[in-house]
Amino acid sequence: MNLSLADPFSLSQDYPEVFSHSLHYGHSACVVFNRRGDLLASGRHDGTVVLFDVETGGLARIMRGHTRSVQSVSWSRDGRYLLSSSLDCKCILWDLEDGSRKRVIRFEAAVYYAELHPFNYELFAAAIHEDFPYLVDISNPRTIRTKLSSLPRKSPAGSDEDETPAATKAKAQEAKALTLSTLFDSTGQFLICATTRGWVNVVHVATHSTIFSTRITKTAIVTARLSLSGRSLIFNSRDRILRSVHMPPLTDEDIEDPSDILFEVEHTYQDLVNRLYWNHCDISPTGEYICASTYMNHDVYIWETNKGSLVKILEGPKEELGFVDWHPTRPMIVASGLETGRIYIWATNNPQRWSALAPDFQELEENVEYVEKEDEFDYKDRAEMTKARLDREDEEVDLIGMDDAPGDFRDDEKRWTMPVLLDIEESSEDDDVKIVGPTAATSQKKKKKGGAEAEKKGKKRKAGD
Amino acid sequence: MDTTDTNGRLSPPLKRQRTMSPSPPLYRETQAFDTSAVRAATSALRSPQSQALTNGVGARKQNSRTNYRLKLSLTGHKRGVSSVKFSPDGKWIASACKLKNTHHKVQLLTTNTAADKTLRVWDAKTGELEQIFEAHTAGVSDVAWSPDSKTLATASDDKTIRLWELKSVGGIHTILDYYPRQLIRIQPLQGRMIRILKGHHNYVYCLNFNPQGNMIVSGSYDEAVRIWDIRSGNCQKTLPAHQDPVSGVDFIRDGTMIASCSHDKLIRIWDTNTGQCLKTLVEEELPPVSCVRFSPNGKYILASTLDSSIRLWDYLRDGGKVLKTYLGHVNTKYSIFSAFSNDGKYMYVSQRQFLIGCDMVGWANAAQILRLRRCGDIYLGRADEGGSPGSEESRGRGAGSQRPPYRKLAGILRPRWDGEDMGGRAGEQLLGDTLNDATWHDLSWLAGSSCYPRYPS
Repeated sequence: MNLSLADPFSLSQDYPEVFSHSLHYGHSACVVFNRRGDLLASGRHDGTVVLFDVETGGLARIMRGHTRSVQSVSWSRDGRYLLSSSLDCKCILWDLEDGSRKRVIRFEAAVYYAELHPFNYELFAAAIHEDFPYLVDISNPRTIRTKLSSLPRKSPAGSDEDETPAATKAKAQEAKALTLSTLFDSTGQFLICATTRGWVNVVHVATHSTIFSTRITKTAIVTARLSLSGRSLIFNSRDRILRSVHMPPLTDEDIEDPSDILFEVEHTYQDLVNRLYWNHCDISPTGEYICASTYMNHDVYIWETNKGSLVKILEGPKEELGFVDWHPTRPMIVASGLETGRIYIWATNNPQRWSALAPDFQELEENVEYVEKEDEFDYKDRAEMTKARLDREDEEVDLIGMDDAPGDFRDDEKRWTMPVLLDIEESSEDDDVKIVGPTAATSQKKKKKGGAEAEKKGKKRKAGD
Repeated sequence: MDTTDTNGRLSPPLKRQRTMSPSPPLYRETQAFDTSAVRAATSALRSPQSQALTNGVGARKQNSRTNYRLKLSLTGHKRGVSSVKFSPDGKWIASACKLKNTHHKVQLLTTNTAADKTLRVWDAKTGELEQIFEAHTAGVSDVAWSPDSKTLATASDDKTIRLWELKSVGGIHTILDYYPRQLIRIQPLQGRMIRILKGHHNYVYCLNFNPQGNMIVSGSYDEAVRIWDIRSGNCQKTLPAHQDPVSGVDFIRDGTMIASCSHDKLIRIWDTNTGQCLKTLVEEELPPVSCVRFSPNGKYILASTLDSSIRLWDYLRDGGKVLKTYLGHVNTKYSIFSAFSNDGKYMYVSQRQFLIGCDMVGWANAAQILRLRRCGDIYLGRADEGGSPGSEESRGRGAGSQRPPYRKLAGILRPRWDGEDMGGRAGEQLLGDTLNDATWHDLSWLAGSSCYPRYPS
């Protein structure tokens, strides 16, 4: 509701300009905002998932369950559930109402990426190491895992082709393709899978069949992100190029006849001079901007997607950055540092409007000669003026009705909010330094450290269970 | 020892003067009518919207005057009660008590009487004292409930804010409830202090939780407004807000803005996120402001000033505009709360709100005046009408006069009592109740709704 009073100039800023502050609690491996943008989930290298309050920068919740590095976190639409995937072959669905593990799903290999269905928190897709991606349904006590294919959809015409040695070789190579990211589209009907062979497969969620495939690069696609609006996609591949794709509106008709699907690279983004390799990338919620963190470089690059031009290089801290995420409503970017695991935040810098402090004053560009009004210093009867003023107060006042216009606040109220915890156990900073590194050994060592702390933790776990 | 000394919340910078209030002989309910009420009635007829409303509400409207009766008197505080609030879930009442004017320069040195620096929590249904929280080393000026009703915050003259956790211990007791007569199960309370927020350089005077429950805003005699993260207990921001003690702070319903007011005659609106001032409201007559509150929908600001008026501001308009002025009561020295009520029954009907103020003398167009023994009166007025001070001729009008289209108020009272001149037994609080069809919960909700009213969904 502050928008109505905010400086129009500051509102017109779409992307962050300056480094704002950093958060530090353990070695963060991935950072993701929830849909409302009030909480930031950080998956740590030691397997802990930490929630930060974006507004205050304070710790909102600490959840322990994984034993190795967290690879991705995904929020449910209402923000109540959080899915974390980890190298310890587990995915955990957390219920943030009390911080308990609602479900633990085990796989046979490390989980690279897991994403919750946009509307149904009991359905998620996971990309697994050395395996095909899975679609997992946990609505029943028995987990239903459905294996999806990483292979591109065969064109009907090419299926009967003779098996030349070259073709078989190519096929064998294709078979080795791994899916590294699995994204749901905004409707939740389709799944976009990006593979190490540069293929993008669109899978129909209901039938588990690949309805469309296209090869956008010859190298591995490492990261794929969908904007909050669901209209643009970005792929980060090994060939040091970011590719943005306008997400085609997929309908039921496309399942029958996918030939009409227009899935083409709109823009490519790369650093031609330094040939920078992009660590991670994200799109702004509207899809207007793209940001990316770079390998061996401390900056975050921001491009504008309309023309594909670079608009800003955010000067970063003195370390390389990994995961980046764009705030869903504000011009704000977070990135996790690879070395220290600090979380860095860039935002806009709003200068104070001095005229807001004194309503009689105006901010002027130049000096203006003041012209006294005719009746400025005339004597006026105070009582009369008061009376006249009171008589003018004849407007209807509605104290409860809301405008539907800016920001859907009604919607907001229906959403779930996390209870505020006041007794989060906070370990000291020294502790955090020790937990650096993804190995299970360190975390075990930590367990063995014994003493009250470990016991406390154990208790906490029990409580969590 | 001066037993008639005030124990209440004197508005900060003004000199204390002794006033004699007309103390009514007995608790009784009175009604006040006047010309402005008639004027309001006619204006209501003029306006098509009100007309529709009037018709829509139908017969009920005839009996639209509020009908609050004294339900409970909570006695126990040894000194004047500075703040009393319902919990948002309606279960509890928290009240805070202030030492004799510790902060006042002209105070008589008679503070060797038993000091009461406690926070008390009462069962809102039975009026039983549930727990006394003691830790503050000086009087408590304000108390606020977190939106989940689990945490309390108190602002004290010992320059700290303390957070208290309300915890029900295991075991449920069954007791007989008086109203309505039935067996109910209660959980005994076992609260504790969980955090001390230190940072203010002077007495902390007012505070409020934000609707998300993760922040507290506080105003202090050190002229600053501070924003605190309650999870860590750290001060997030210090706003150099005013040039005089800050007398009131409030969050808007979505928590993105803060209003603060002070005796430097300004009302300022701040952006919670950036900590920058977005707007300053100044009334032409420059009265010190003693209480500020956003309306339930966040479009208006209600400000009480020490020139015996309460004003409703449209702060969004250029420079801000006073839409309504509520006159008739007299308050030139106390920080008296005002609150919006919210009719739970007719939530979709606009203009269901009433304004409640309390003080010593008549409020011209109040919907109802509750007159209480020893304490002064509570005025219920319609927020959408405002009005000028009651003229003499209007005073005498009785029930026969044309009544304005008041609707029933399912609401509450959240008085900030002052025990002065009330016969020595300071520290009684009271809660109103409507005897009509408003349920108890509506009532308590309204009382607690000062910060987080319920909305139509």
